[in-house]
Amino acid sequence: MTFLTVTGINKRYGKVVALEDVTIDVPSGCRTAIVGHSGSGKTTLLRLIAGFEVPDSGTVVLDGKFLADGAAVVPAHRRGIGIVAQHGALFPHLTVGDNIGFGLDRNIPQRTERISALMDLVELARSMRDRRPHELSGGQQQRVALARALARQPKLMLLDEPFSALDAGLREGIRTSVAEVLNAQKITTLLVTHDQAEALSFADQVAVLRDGKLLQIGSPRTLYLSPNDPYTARFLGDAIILDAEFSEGLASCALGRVKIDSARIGTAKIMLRPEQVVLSPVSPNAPDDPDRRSGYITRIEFGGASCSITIRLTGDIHDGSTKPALVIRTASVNLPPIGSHVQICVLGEAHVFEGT
Amino acid sequence: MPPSQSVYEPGEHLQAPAALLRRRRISNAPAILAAGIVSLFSLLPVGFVIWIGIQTGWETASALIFRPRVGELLINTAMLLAVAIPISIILAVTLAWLTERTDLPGARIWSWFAVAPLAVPAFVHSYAWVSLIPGLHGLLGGVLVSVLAYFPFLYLPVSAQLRRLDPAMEDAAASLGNGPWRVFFFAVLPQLRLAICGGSLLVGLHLLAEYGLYVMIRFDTFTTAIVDQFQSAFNGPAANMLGGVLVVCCFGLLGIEALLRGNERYARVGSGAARDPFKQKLGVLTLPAFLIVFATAGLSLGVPFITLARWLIIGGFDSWRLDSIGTALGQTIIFALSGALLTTIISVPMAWLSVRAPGRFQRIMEACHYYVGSLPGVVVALALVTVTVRVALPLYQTIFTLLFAYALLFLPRSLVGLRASIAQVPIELEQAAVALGRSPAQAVMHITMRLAAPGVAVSMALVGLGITNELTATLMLAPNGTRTLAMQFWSLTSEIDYVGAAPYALMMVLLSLPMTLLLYAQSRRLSGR
Repeated sequence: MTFLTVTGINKRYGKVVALEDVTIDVPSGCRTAIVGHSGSGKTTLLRLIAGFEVPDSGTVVLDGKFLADGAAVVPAHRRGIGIVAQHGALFPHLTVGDNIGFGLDRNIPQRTERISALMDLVELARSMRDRRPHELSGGQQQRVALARALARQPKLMLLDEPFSALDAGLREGIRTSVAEVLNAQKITTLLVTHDQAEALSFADQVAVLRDGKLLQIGSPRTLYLSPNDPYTARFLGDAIILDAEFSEGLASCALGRVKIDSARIGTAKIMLRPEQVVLSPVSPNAPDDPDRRSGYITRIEFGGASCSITIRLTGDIHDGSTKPALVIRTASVNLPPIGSHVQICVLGEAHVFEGT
Repeated sequence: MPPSQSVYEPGEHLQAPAALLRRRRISNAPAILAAGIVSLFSLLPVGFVIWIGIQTGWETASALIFRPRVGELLINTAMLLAVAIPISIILAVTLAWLTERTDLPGARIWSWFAVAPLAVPAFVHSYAWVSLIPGLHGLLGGVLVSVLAYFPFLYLPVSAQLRRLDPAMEDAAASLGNGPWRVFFFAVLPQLRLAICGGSLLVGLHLLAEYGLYVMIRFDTFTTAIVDQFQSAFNGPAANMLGGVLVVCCFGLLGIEALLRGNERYARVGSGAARDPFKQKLGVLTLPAFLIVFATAGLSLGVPFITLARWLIIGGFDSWRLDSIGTALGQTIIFALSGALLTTIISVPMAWLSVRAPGRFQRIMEACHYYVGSLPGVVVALALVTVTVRVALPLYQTIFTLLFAYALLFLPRSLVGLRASIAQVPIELEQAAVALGRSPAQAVMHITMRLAAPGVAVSMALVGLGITNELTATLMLAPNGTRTLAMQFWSLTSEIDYVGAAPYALMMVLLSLPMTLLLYAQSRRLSGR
């Protein structure tokens, strides 16, 4: 069932619109990621839910209780929502143990044991209990911040880009272990991030914000494969976006005739993910396949695990106008050399942008 | 895993919103209210001057203001400012350049010596000079002692600014074909403009407010005339009118400073850390440079310390009447501590607001907090005497009123320090505390103020230093029988008992020394060295 409901939220700062009519439902126990470029309003949304900002209009309902109804709000300290901020926001004058115990009542029984149990939960060595935050690594600081937020057994956990300040190597490990802890505790979670890969891998549900408006919300798979518009498509990963003309359930485009995921007719823009495009060498005397196109590799930009390949397409499509070179990102293994003639083969279906 | 399909049913949540919901805002209201009350109180002195002006009526007022005596005072005060400020600027810039940007031997010690005169109260400076040259008086004497007592207020910001300057700018000026002198005048000096303006304003306001120094050197300014009037005719309209003219002079200085300061950009354009400044080789100029710093230190520190030592030796042990010295010391420390505490407490709301919730209204309130500190003690005292006598007689000549006057006078000192230290505490920490169940007020107290504590201690020390050396308002407001170090010193020197006054002067200097050291350390830290 719906656990957190944000309905019709508007927020502006002077003339700047931070959020415009944003509505999001978060099911109980679900991990939702809110993604967008900086300035998209994602952090404002998080702060509204936390209670640090007051919406101009709209409601926030958590577990059946109103947290905000327009400008009438429950103050942040009575919301029972846990937060992990970008840099952890640990109290520098307190030890790790005191930081974790900050939200626990001084007089509750077995306070010390609770703190130790929380440290175990987030995989922090108990010996760190008396250290100060500045003596910890970035990843350890985030674990302390998570334990501190978990101590009050929140119904909802807000993560405000908690992994972005960590080293790339560390990030994935921490992310996985945070996800596991939150999953085990069955805590509904909202993650704000500008890193699309992080959002796709962490969340059950992804919401894309742009200029304060919610563009699309859905499962990572839906958003990645069937985005509503080219912005979302490009935001969530590399995308090849082409003009196409539809006939007989196929789309004719710069890459030949490809299958589509809709029954649309006429013309529209379609999207392919680069991993759908496969290059194979053209044997000189192979029969010409009218549905496929070929081209010459003019440039290869090596980038480690994957490379960008630039292909100049041969032949003309419809009108013989000059065709833009095609750039695709592909795995670095078994690359044909520059200058070779390759055939372009498309796997799966192309996604049609219905709005175009 | 795809999310379970969630349907929002309109009826589902439309139960009565929780009672908690009625709190309208995550509110700064208590802080705004508290800061507003303090702002209103800080408007009291100016309100008083305006009210007195209206009450007295134009005819009486003009009769009191437009008379030869006031003209004379005006000329005296203007001459003092016009001569002492430029000399202080030249002296301070020269010393700052020598100690910061040249290979002068012992630069660190000389830079400390250029700040140390602040530890000697201005009226102790003049006491030293008068006992050294009994004939010293008038404008010449006034300018000499004023410059020696107050130039560190210019030296501090100018030297800090010189340390901060990016030497690349000077390199650029030199590479464009400018010689060293042109580089200094066209590339360096303009960068010091803000520091010079700010420091000159501070010196000017002190010159307007100073009482003891000029009485001892027998030079009449507005402030000495007002205190004379007050002592002979108590709370007469004559004193009040002079007070009004003095306030106008203060505002005039503030206005001139704002005009001269301009709006140009002085921060570095571009990123990256500035290189360490290059030290100019003095070469043959080392000896003259050495003479300058030596002479300054000799006049501003040597003279007070030698005279003080002389009087102490002449007096021997007999001049140490321990009971009255002990009482005075105890009272001074109690006043300094409680005054500093009160000032800090009442400036917390404004400091917090100006960091966490800046806005137009907040800036106006902040301006109220600042302006009152630029008023001379004598005006604040006059206002509080009038208000307590007419409105709240039981408060007249009580310790409470005196502490209140201190709080008004030193509000800016406390606000500056508090604001800087609160700004060091990220707002995320406050929010983290709130998210963990603390109320906003508790979060500010337990987290922000706790982390700001070291900075708060420094600003409290600076307020305490001001109170220790405050003479004018203390003389006018203190309850009968109050004997602070400054008051005791003052009454003994008035009886020309220079020997008896020496121990009190020594105590004041000793109390001020650690705080001056703090000020020096703070200015070096602020400029990142």
